[in-house]
Amino acid sequence: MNDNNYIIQIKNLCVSYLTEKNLFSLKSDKIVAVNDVSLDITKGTTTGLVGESGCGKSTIAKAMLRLFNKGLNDVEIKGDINLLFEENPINILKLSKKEMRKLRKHIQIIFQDPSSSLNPRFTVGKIIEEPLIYNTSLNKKERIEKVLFLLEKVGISLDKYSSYPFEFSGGQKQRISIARALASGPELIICDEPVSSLDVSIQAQIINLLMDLQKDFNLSILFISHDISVVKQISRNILVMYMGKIIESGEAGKIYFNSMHPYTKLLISSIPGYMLKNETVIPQIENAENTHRPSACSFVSRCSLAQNICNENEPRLEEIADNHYAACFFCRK
Amino acid sequence: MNKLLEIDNLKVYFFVDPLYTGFTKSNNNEFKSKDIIEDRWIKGKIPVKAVDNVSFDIFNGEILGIAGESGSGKSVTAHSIINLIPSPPGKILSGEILYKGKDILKLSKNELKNIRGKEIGMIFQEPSVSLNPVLKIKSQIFESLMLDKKLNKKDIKKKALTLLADVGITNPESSLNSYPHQLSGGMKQRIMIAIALSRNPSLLIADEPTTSLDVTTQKQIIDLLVNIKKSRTDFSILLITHNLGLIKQICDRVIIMYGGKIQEIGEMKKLFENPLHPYTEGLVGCFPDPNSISTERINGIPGNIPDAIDYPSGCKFHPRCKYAMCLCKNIEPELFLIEKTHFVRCHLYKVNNITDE
Repeated sequence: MNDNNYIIQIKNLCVSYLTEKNLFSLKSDKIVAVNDVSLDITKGTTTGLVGESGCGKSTIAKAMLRLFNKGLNDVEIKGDINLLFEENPINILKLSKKEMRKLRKHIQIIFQDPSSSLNPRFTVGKIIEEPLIYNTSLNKKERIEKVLFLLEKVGISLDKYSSYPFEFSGGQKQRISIARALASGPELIICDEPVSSLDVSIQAQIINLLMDLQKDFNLSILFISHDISVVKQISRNILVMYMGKIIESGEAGKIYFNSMHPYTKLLISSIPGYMLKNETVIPQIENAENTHRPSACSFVSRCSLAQNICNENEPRLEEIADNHYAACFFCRK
Repeated sequence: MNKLLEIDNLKVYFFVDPLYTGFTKSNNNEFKSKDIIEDRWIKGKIPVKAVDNVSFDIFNGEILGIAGESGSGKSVTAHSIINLIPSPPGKILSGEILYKGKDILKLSKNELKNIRGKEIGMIFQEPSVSLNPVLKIKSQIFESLMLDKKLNKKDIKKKALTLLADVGITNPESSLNSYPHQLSGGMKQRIMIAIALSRNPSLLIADEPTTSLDVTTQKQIIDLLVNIKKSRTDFSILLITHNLGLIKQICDRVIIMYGGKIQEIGEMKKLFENPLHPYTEGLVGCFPDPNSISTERINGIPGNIPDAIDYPSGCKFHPRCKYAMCLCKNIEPELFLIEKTHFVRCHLYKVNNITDE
């Protein structure tokens, strides 16, 4: 693949939160949320990002949009996030606030909980119109037309134009946030656990909707979820994260059926209803402490394959098969 | 197999103020004439039909699953088993819940205390909400053990430690002395399970025990429940979940609920191999098959779950059903017997029955 196919390239991204000094402790702690992560998203495809809660998935999404609130907690970001949809790559992390605002229309996000991400005092029409006001030069009439077009696209009946968010169910609210994300005509949509808070039947509807919209608008999607069975349904590539690092990445089919890293195997075998096919069951050490030593494999405390080498060295992400990467000493070629 | 619990014609309604619903009082006709309006607070309120004529049995030593979308009446059914429906606004209008032959709904408050916890244990969805944040784990486990008058203080501590070890807590001694916020979600749920098991109940009601947990933790909790079930004789679990995968993994029998009514009951294997009710078929289709990969659309169920105040006429599922006929719009089907233990509430199978005869 050549570089032109990518829409965004993240190189060696490190994000750490500095905890505030409080009354009792004199020095502040540094929590490394994302540690040396590189990922690319190919134009027009969906990339899935899987991991347990607390592994840094959402921090990557926040970094891509620079959604950090500097006043509350200090954040340290290193690395590059390059947007490639124009001729020259733009490094998001080096932009000024003003330049970033101009760029936001190209990257949009859908949050997990639709009821808290929609303004309860705005009507649906206003919610979807708002990004059009700031990001496009359409006049009032054109904007309303666009809003109606988007409502139709996401499957909300047009007479709901002046309803308020509380009048909708969770699935419909998520449809509205999808419409809002689409309004400014983005190239990349980040979906941060978009279906986790929804019922199963509604989950299926929203995933179908995202797949349809991707075809219609030629969108690139970064799909973040803790549920690998959902991710494998929608994604072409899957990245598995554990404690701030990517530990396995590759095509969805390869990751799902031919996973190499013990953690990925654990994730997949944890799916309810998954039948292990003549494969050894992965025993897992329960309730292990998740303290991370920098010079050891981050998964070592929970891994059944762990040996001395895992405690002494940290495995790096290496290509183990064609376009299939894993960070484990025991899955090398 | 012996019946442990029999639920017969359970009907639980919640009565809400018409102000909050957007419906007028005229919808409330059926409640004007009938004698059930003994309670003054019901007057002028609109009924939300949460559970409507539900009957089923739980046998000794089985894991029974109840599945359905949120709002289908699963939790209300489970809560009424140990009489946990707040009244007002809820009211159990009719029905019997026979636990080992005794009707739970007719018991006094004191008699209920002997059932709750001792005979029927319960774990709830959100462990962080169910545990008291200002009390140490110690006092929360001791609380239920102290109800057993035979135990002295030493025994109580000993029993608590073994309970915690049984549910897979690696360091019981230090966990006893910690507060809920110091523990992870999975640990908290383990402690909830330990509390529920503390008085050796014969039925454990698990109301969405894994919904707020990570997938890997979910697997551990489910494995734990299965192990507990195996290590005890005559121990039954009622598992309420919207995750059909879980049901497929551990349940013996399944109940599918929709709109406050049972739509299908059957043995787990038969129900998954050959889902008869269109709703069951839809629910099964919603799950991306964990054993294959395809990037095609998921065969879900269109539409939303109906409002429990204003159900559609006839079969409650007909507006979302792809097989809906004219008949479905007008007449609500009964539960038809398909095989020995397999019941379906759908007109499609009545027609078949007639032609077979």
